[in-house]
Amino acid sequence: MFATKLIVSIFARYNNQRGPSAVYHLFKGKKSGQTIQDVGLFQLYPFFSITPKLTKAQYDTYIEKLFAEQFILLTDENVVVTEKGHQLIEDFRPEGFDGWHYRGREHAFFKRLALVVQTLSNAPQTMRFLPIEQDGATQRFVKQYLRHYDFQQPAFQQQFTTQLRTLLERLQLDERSKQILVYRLSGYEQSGYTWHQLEQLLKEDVLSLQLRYISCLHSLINEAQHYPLIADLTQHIRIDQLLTQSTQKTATLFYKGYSLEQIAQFRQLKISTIEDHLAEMAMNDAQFPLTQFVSIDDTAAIRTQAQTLQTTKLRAIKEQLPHVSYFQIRLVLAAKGE
Amino acid sequence: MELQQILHERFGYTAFREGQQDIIEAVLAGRDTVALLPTGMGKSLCYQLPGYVVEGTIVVISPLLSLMQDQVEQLKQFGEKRVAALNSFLSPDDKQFVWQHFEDYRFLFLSPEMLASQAVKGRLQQMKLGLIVVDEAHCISQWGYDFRPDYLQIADALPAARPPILALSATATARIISDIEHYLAMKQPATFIHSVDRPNLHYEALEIEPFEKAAAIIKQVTTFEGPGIIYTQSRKKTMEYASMLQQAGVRATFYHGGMEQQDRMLVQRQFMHGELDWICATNAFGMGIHKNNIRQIIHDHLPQTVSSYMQEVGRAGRDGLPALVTLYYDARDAARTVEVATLDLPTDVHISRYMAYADAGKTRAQLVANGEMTDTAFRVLDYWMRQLAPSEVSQKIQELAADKQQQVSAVAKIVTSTCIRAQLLAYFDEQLLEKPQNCCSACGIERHAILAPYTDKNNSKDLLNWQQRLNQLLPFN
Repeated sequence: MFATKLIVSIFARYNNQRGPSAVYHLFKGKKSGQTIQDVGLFQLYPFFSITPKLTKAQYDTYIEKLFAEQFILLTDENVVVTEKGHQLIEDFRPEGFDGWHYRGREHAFFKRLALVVQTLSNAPQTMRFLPIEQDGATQRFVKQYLRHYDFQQPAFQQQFTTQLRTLLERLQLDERSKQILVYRLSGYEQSGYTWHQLEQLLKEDVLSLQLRYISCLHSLINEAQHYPLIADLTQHIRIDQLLTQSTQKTATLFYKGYSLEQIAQFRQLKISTIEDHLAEMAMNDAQFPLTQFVSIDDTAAIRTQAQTLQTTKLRAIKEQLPHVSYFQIRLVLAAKGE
Repeated sequence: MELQQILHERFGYTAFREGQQDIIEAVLAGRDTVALLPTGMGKSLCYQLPGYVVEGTIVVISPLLSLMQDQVEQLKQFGEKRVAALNSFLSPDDKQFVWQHFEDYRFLFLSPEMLASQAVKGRLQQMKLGLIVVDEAHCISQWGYDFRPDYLQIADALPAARPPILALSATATARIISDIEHYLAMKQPATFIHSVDRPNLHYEALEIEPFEKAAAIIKQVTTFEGPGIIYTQSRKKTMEYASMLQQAGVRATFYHGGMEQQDRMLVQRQFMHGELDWICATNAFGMGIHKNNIRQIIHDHLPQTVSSYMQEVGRAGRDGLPALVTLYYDARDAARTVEVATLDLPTDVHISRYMAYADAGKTRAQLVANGEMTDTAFRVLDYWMRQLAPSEVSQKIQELAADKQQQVSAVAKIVTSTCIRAQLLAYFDEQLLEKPQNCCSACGIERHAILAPYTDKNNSKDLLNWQQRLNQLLPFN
């Protein structure tokens, strides 16, 4: 039910101006001009990229149900929320989301948390247990963290527990969202529950449970600063100041949908400076919409040339590929490989 | 140090299991070695222990990411820190970390495609190697049930002056063994073939009408003790069985390759910790399940090959206590299994699409990305297209299809024979010398003599509140 309400409430915010896929692109975190522009226009930052792995088929089952139950209807290809739909979301306040600043990275935090909790839970009994998280970066991070705090000391174990509990208590979220988060954790001889198991026990659909869980993770990370033992686990999770100040300004304008020329004019800067900013953005943001500037084929061609020539010199590449611009080459070289 | 002493101090075992010591001694004597040990007989120890005797890194080539990670974790549990896996699924950070410490590892796991890279080859040439292990070595043979073309390049990637090779597999026929020796360019290998017979496994094959299968399975599960695994062929079926068992009050869930990684891990752990009694799964389940007390394996279909059947039933009764393995089949099962088995073979259409991509200068791997063929089909096709002319490839694929058909027929023949155990052994060129009591359904079987009755486990339907649950996980107040 949570997912249904959230989707309807976002359509309500779109104010009858967007089609049925708009919420899908928002949840997926699509970096196209339209989606990004809408985030600003309709103030949808909290919900941007909250479920990057959502499939269209999964989303469509919700949309079809919403149409069938007449919470929404279609007028001129735009979704309109019906009276019934407005009633549905009357008391609905989706709290805790901060998608704009996490975009799927909250899962890296959860992995760390899960491994720390599992280790502490096992510590009094045994240190020979199979780690629930097998990814190397998580394991190294957690190992360093635990070593730093001398985790076998009861004092640390108590402090960690108290901080986690107090932090969870303080979060302005319903009990169920916290319950889901805690039941995804594993400990000594008690494993976490799968989404399907939680669905059966809580009688709520998987997407709703996952969305609640995401909201809980976001607020947990956002509120962690007064709980140092938890805050330490949130290192490099939040996406904040990735860019220099000037580039940030360009980026802000760019993601509102302004063209390079418009930004240059507006900021009274040379076009080449704006191009510098875009290159910086491409470098810092794995989701930079490179294809908006360079075709997939050209991107591949530039990468291949750079590799064969063992160079990042623009001219050398340009000589081999006369039809692409210097700006395009710069973007491709700056952008992170897929 | 004595082998026994290392075994005890490093691994906490008091004695070798059958076959292990001979294999380890051959390896330590510097001989190329082929060792076949049935699933659950402690294959890994055959290279883990030499790691503490020989000088230099033990390089283990392993076909599956999950298997590799599982082995790494297992070694870490034994307190080994100098162990790592290098495969194409590692994050760039992780890869770099492994790369920086390459020579320092005692155990280094490599996927075959990593081994093929020039950089890795170069590194291996320069460092001190103690032993080369080829795990799941049957993957090298196109007659094996899990042919990996990458495996054929292993010999080329190894330095000329190399340490001995240890090729490991659970099951292999004579034809596969000779492929292993040939393609790995082994020098007068010592070969150890442990009997594939598992006297504590009791085999059942029951013909049944398709519409009666589910009811029979539920009845069996609620009559006799678990824990157990039900193997089925589709993801949908895993969910159906799980939900039927849950309704019958059984602590069961499903497992298939389409689930997210964390959920798969949770199911494995719940099963291993005894929080669940039954898993309804596709053949994706099993690798890396170290659970000794599995009492039953149920198949609702004919497996694709005798070897995969052996692998799957071999997960039962690793504690040496009796276990029942039951296969339900109906007359049309063989045809259905052949269909599933050949699903992943490339077709003539694929061959022409492959060439069209090549002509257009497109990356051929795009065939998979564009949904034109499965990953497995591409892997097989790509390999043969590089080896043979297109017309020969078509021929080759027909041969492979015929072979798959034959493998399924072999399974069908065994389960409908006069003694399942004797025929299983015969398939692996072995003779059954001693028939245990309650040998198999063909010889006559008394289920009650094998298994204790089902007991109702407390299948609580209520969750604790979050404070209580957190307190259970972290009882530090």
